[in-house]
Amino acid sequence: MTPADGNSQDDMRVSTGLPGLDDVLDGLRIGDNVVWRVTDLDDYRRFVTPFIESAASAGRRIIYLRFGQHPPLVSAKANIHIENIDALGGFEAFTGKVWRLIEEHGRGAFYVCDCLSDLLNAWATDAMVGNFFRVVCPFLFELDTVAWFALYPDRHSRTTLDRIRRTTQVMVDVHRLGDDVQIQPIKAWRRQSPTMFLPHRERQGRFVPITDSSDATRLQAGLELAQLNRQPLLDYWDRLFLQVAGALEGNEEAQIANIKDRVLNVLISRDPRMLELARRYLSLEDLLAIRARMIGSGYIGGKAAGMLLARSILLTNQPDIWQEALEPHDSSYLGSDSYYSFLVHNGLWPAIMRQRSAEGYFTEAAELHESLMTGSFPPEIRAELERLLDHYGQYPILVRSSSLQEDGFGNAFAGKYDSIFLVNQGPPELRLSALEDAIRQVYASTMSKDALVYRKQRGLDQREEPMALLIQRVNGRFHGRYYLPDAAGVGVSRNTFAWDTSMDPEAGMVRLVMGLGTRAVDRIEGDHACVMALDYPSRQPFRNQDESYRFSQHLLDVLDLKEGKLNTLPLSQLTQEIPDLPLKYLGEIDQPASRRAEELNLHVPVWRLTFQTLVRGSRFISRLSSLLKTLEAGYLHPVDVEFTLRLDDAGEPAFNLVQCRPLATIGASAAAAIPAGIPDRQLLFQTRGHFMGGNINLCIQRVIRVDAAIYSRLSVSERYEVARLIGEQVRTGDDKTMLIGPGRWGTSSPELGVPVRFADIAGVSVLIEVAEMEGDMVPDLSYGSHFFQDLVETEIAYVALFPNGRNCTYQPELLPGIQADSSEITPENSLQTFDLRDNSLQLTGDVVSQNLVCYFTNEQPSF
Amino acid sequence: MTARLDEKLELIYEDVLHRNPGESEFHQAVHEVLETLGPVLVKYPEFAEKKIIQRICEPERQIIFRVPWQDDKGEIHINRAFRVEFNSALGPYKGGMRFHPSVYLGIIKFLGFEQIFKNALTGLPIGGGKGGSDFDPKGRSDDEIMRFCQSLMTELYRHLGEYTDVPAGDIGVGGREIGYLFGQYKRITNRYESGVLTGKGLDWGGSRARTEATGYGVVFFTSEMLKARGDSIEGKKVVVSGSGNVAIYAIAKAHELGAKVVACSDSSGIIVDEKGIDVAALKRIKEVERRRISAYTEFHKDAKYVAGGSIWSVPCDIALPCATQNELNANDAKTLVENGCIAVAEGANMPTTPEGIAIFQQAKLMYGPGKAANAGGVATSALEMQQNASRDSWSFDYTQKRLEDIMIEIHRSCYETAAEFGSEGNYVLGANVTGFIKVARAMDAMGVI
Repeated sequence: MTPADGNSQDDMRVSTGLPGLDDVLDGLRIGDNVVWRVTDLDDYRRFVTPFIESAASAGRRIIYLRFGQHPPLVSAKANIHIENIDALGGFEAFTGKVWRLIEEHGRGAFYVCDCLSDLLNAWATDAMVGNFFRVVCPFLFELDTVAWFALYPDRHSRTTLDRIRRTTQVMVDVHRLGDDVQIQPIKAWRRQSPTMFLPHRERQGRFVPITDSSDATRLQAGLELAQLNRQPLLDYWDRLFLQVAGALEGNEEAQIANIKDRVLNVLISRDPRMLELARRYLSLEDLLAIRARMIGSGYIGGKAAGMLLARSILLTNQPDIWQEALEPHDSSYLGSDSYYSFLVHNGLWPAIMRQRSAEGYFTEAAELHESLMTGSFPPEIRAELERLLDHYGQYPILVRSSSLQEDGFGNAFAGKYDSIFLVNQGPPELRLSALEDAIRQVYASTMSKDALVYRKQRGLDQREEPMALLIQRVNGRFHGRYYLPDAAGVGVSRNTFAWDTSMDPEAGMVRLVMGLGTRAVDRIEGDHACVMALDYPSRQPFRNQDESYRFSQHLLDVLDLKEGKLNTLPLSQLTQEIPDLPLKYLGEIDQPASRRAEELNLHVPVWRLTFQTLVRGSRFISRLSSLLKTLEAGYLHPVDVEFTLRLDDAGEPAFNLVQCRPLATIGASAAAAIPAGIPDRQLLFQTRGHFMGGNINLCIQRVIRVDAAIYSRLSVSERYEVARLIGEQVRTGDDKTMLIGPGRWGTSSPELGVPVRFADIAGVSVLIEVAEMEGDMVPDLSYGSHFFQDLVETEIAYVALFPNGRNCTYQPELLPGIQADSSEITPENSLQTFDLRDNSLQLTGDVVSQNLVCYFTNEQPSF
Repeated sequence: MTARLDEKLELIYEDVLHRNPGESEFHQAVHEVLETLGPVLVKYPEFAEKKIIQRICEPERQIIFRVPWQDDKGEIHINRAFRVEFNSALGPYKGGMRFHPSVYLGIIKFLGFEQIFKNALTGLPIGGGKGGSDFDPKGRSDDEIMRFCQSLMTELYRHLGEYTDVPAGDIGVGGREIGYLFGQYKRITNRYESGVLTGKGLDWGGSRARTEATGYGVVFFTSEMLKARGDSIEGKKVVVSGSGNVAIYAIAKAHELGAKVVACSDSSGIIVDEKGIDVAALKRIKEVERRRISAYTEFHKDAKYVAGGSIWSVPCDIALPCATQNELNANDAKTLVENGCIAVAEGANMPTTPEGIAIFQQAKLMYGPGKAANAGGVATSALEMQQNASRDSWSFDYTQKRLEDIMIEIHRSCYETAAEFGSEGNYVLGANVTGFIKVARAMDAMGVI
């Protein structure tokens, strides 16, 4: 024996429990991870049992990690601590749990683990088993432990086995031919002997090396014969989909259903509602098609699943329309396992573990973000990314986050993770580099403050959030140096901004833009998308043409191939540079502006994006309505969708459905049911209808109320002073604030309401307008149109209360400490602020039932 | 309404309250005029003896009528419309029509009452009136607007005429509505009486320089204020709030007269360009591209945009509030005075709060109230009537010259009247009293009518 280190070897030596085995391996060392490759678990048990006994008698602390489906290796004993871990929670949850257990048990503990191959049943992928090993073993080594593992080599790909071999310190194969048991050490880190790595035959407790070459050759041949074709080349994941193909060929219903369920659970989602939809609308052929476009393994994530489900719902339920009107998509998927492989490949698992702790949740994020931005990709993924770029050629592509939780019921994660447009121009190396940068950026966005706060607010901070990616060809056309779709939009199956009482909320609405849909999806400062109620698409909240032109879209998002990025450009510039824009369907000529432009020697004509020709002259509205209704029926829940449009020569649109998700809620958590039977002394107000912004579930921390009785007695200039005071108050602090006032917020006529500017109230969460007839106050609850447009662009919920109406109750006297001091009619006295940071005031609104309540969670004392 | 009235005027005011219950805006407007009339009655006791004031406070005619119309789906709607023909001592009733859900008789009377004196100040033969309806044009299609206007005119036409009553536009009534109203009037009466409405399109009887009028007018007035003190607008640093028509053309005219406008604004923020606001860029942004003022920095990188900023904190010699009501309060006024501002003239209606006005007056700063300073728009309405009457269409330059002369005359009469009443340089008093005296003298001459 040649010890690797000097005399200290004796201190580090640990017995296997079998003297004969100790002789073969020169004993184990502190820090050894020992992997047993077996064909029968009893062979592992046969070696693990003496090891445990030996370790126990040496006073070692032994932890048994129990996660497999096979019978337990050991039973509970005094010196053995059993930790049960559920692998079905996913790779991250499992590995995280194991990591924390190791941390907890600290230095010097010994570990015995169930068969690693059983993890395949839960995770369906070799790569993750390999990743688990690569994460855990170095940690165990650092903590001076000895850990035993087993696996069935015929269930894992060579790549995984190679990875495990490279990581472990000791690896031993066990072969059985009848009663003949052989072991063969494959690896024993930093020790060797002339016969250590020969096969050894067990003879009466000793392991005798087979030193005769003929004997060894016959033995090997016998083993290979027994294992012929059992060593897979493919990952478990690939074999699973081979089974899918086989099931399709066999065409047996039960088998198809069974394999489909297995695949759905590891490819599409864990959410029971999404799985139910997937069962109904995705076929095995669909799943094979997804696999064909997939890099890596794991989930395709919520965004991808939502998009595919929506397409399938449309094509299944309304094939006559959507076979023709739904554009094909060109999507690829980077599976969620690739995210973990990226983490492991870059040694980021310890950092992830630190970030997942309560203390490190925010503080570790910045460094992790930086590490994610600078990490490298495993070679096999790089190769796949190159092939992906070959497929897309030089068409711009969109790299989109598609985490497991995204676009699910209850947690939309809307806008929390990044999506990156790539112009995809230039030589292949440059394009690959850009793609990798984009993927890194999306990965890193999991560590953005926005995302972290969102997760924490929803109690998701400790839940697994694997990040898959959806990579798509951007729908659009090349226009010289620019690339953009004809139009894009967001459709919602419920009109969350029904500003006119004749509008039916169930008819739905659309936000429409020309160019990239980023201007329909994101809040745009100083510009406007075209918002239309689908039952009254031509009705706009403007008084005249001047307003409708002023509040139309002026800036477009385009991909600038020359500058290699997304640019925002004025429509006026694009109409000059791109003569073949489909303006005649999307806009109209602004005659007064065109005349003025001519006088100023500017380009004419001047176009305004009103979309009226599209609305009136094509099937856009009817098709979008049908699309939303069909999807809502499929989801059994209101939905919102993102889409692009391609107009044919006659202006008829074809839809490219980019995203679909259940309609989200304004507020800190998932949509809540409207509580029934709220006691009268807790109900601040309730209403049926007359609210905008979608589902609402907000905990209000501050109420600022304008007392109508005092306000109505103020002079005009004093009313403006009230508006200024409100602005000052709103800007102090970032509590969730509800503004309550008489008449119209943001009016330019103080006799109608409170003449605040939008900037004064932009920080509030809820705006309440109350029809209060006091003095000369004229009740009026219509919007100043710029105000409405700005409200649409933000997440401010709006409620109109008609206390004298049938379906409305309003009890301001319940606000704690409310007392109108009407003896002094001053601007300051008209304003009342209520601190509710004890989280006792809840606002809940359901867009489906059109009910909204605001109530105290505790009974309010009467005054 | 803080100032006390003379005993006689107090009785008149009480009577107004009694006759017009619940119309607080009208009450306030009357009170504000009455506050300035004490010295006038001392000098002109006949106005009291012949109950001129009482007669001025009582509209000559108040018309309230029903306006039924059908929307695009065939549903019938009923609105109420008003036309208050307040005073025709100086000429036919003249005043805009407002379509807004807040419109009721009190608002129209308030606006009509103010219109009497505003129109009188121009020195042109126009009386005072106002009208409107509680119709809300928001979200209505062109066809619906047309049907409403046609229904309204079907009743109103019998009260109108180029020698009788001449409406114009106001909130909710623009060129589109004026066109529909005129079309229906012409159809019913079978007369091409172009002077029956002002605010018409240039192709069918409208006046050149109408868009520029109010903006030009406020700068002409400012120039006269400075001349009266032996100063000049040339070389002065100016700030103009707003970026609509009034502001744009005030800036253009200020530059033309040698001043430099360094800041303007819109509802989202302010632009400061120490090199002087580029009017062409401003017109491009606001009139062609219809964008927010923040876009100015795309054309002038040196300019500064301040979101939500206060334009009154920009140091200047002259401030022209041209944006909206009550945009300039006491604090703003103090800041302007401390920064050395010497003149303020209002392009908007009532942009300065009473407290702000008090600070300007205390600091003996030249303050031109909107009533006088923004009369350019009203004056050009009257010039449109003149062109229509003579079946003529003046050139831009000629119209502008007429406008300038009118503004000079308005300034002169306000200035001299203020001096006459012992308050030299007090344009508020001058404007109120000038207008009143013109109307009162005419009424006195016409007997008890």
